[in-house]
Amino acid sequence: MRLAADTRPALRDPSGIAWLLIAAALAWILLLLVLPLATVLWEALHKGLPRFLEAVKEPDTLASIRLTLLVAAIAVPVNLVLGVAMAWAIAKHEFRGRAMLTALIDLPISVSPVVSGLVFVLLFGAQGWLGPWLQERDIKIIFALPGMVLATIFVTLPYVARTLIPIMRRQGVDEEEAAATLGAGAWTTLARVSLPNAGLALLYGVLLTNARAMGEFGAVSVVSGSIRGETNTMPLHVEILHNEYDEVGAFSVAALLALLAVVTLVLKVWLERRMQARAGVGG
Amino acid sequence: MSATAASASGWRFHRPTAVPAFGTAFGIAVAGLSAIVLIPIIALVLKGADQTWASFAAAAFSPRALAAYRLSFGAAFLAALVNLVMGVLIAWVLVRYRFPGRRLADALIDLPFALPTAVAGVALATICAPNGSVGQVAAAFGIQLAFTPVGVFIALVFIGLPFVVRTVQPVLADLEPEVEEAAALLGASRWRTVTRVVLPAIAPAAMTGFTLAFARAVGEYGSVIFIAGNKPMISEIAPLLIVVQLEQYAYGAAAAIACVMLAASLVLLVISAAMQRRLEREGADR
Amino acid sequence: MTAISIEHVTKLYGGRVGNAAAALNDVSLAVRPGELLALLGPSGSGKTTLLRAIAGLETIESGRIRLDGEDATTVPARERRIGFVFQHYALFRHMTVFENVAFGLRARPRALRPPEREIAERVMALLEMVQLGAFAQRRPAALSGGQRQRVALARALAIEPRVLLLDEPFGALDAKVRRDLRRWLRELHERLGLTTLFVTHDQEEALELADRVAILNTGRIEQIGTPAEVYDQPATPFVAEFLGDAVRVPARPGFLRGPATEDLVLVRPHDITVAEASSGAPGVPAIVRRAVSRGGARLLELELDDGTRLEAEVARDDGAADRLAPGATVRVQARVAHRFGA
Repeated sequence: MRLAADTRPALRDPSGIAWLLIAAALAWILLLLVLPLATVLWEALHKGLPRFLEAVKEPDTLASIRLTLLVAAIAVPVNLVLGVAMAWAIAKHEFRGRAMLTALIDLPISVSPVVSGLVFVLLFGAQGWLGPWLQERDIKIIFALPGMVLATIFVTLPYVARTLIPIMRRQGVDEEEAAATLGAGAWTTLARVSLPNAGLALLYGVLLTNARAMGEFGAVSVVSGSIRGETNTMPLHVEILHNEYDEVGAFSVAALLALLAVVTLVLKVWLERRMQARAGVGG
Repeated sequence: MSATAASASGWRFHRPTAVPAFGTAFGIAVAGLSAIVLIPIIALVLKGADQTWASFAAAAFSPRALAAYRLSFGAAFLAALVNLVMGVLIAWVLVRYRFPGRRLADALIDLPFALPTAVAGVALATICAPNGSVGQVAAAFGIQLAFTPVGVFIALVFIGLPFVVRTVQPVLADLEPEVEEAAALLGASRWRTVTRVVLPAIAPAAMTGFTLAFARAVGEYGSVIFIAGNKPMISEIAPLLIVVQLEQYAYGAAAAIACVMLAASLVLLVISAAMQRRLEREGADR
Repeated sequence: MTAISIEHVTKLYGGRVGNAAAALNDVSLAVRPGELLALLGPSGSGKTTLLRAIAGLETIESGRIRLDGEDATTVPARERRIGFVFQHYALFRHMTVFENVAFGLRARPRALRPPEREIAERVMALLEMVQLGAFAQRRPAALSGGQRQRVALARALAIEPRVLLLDEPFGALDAKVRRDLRRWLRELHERLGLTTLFVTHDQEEALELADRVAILNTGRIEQIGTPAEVYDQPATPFVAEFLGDAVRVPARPGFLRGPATEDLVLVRPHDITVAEASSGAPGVPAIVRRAVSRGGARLLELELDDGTRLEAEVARDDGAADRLAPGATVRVQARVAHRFGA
């Protein structure tokens, strides 16, 4: 890609200023982003790889990894279905109240994670609206897996829909109408036309949902009760180990989560390149 | 399919279309949103309202709560302000210049989105602690970063960084070069062109990013609690106060504070939604 | 028996009672089996809306649409078996050309779906027919506009439609490709004998290609007839002005043949006889104000003795340039005039 300023002298900034701005931006990124990431890896590994592996193989840590994967394995598919349904209704149809529904989808992003967790405690907890009813039937939601899954779904609800809606709207309904004139039903249209067209955005939405689901702290912390080996996800386990001054342990788990973030970013860049390449030849 | 030739008034709720399955999609969306978001939030509001005004106010507007709001909103505002300036600068550098490491820097911008907040929290706490890499330097100047309101501010700057960069970047990239050339031909200096032509053009996007960063920072929890020190009245943020009340089984008090936070979120949501819609419309016009 | 019969179809736009502009206003139209019919009109006249309504892509507020005599008003688009070619083709961009054409056959319920081998044969036969056999594995993005257009046509034909609808089929193509494709489409229509409707805003295209032309304006059909009928006997001033040039002229005895009334009179520039003043020809005196040559014709801007200005078009013979130069006095008369009641 060429810069406009390469061929347009009027857009060129004095080179001294340009380099000053670049240096300032890079310094900021180094200090604010690279340093924390490097610190996590350093603290996890500076006592050697064996210590890191030992910390990871700790039974409570392994349990937290299993639980994190389990929560994500439930929350991500649920949000995939909900996200596709929301995007389909909002991007491919017109109806009254569409703007309100769109705003409602964003609500979980602007609400504090602590509030997101609290709402479920107030609904399902022992003192909550449905608490007595649930207790009678011996159903445990708060301080148990269902509550953690619910809180995670709440927090990560917007991401699939938010990545799908702009691209689905931009693509319009021409191809869906063409599919209709060719005799395709709803499922065929969705599975063979609309979703493949939005494919990379969908993948990115899922990726983001997964990253946030595995990394959610505030909301899950409120509903989980942080019972070691039972309701402890990886981010919660980082806190426990940190509070116990087990820095290598805390940073070892943190490093695994940081790795997840890095993989997510790498995949994001890759997907964006693919999308750009596709948009480049498409017409 | 809703192909009716009956109503003479056109569509009332859903505009008829050949695109199938509106009912199913809408049904799933509304059912899901109601079950996951709406009903739980109503449960919160009801719980907040399920007490006398005096007890609500005692919890929501106690000196400790007011100090927590002041810290949460104040630090979030300052952090968003810093992110506004640095975000515009970084977006400018990433869009307008080519230099080694640009792609990597661009990819890293999203780190605060992808990195779990607890990880950011422990990392920032370690860095800013009196014996940490940055904390040592600050300590030499007699400044303590970690376990003070400054620590809260640092964490909020971290998590808010991507918002301004990512809203400004596309607008800046779409800006027609002819506009700047026109300014130059009219005799404007480069500085004048940038401040009077380019910056006003990206101002709506920057303000949208600012609002998003502010909204996110107000409710932030995970990255803050490790670095804040959490001293009541000094470095205790509002979300933490909710957790503290919850741990004391003071559900009504927790709900009261949460209602205040929720109201703030709703206001910010409405503002940012309006700003984003305007931004999209302007984007469509370009 | 009609292939498509449209009976008193009305569709409102905006959807609100009161301020709604009618996109289609009590439109009736009978399309004969096997004919090639053009829906012609300016943008906003409702021609595309009518086409989409026939395909089931738009719902209508009142009226009836019959296909082969059956009431199809409330039949969903996917059950109408109508071949539709979209203005911008709406090809599935993530599928190959082959997959695009095969889509309609593969989307059939299992019981009606031909075996994969038969699908392949039919798709390839269609692609050969549109001269794109070699492009089966390409993606739409790798094709030119004219090629995409033909893929869209093959895709629409693959479902063995009862009628073929084309929305501005040549709109997005450049002039040369347009002409070629126009001729090719006409030949194809003669070969397949499929009832075909196409929408266009280009009167030349409609007159040249269609068996009959329906002219739409603000949601109504102004006239329907063969190209010769609508051109020579326009039913309304709109039709006269939309199909080729037409100038409004004063109803003056002498200028018009026959009795002059106070009605609106439209005359095509090439229907005006311009003779030298000395020739003693019938008509009224006029002065040539401007004269330009365009192709084989000479365009004259004339000023009648009462000050009215009008445009005339005469054949460009050898002496015309001298005789009909600016400043020359002439006598003019309309050979053919289209008169309309006030």
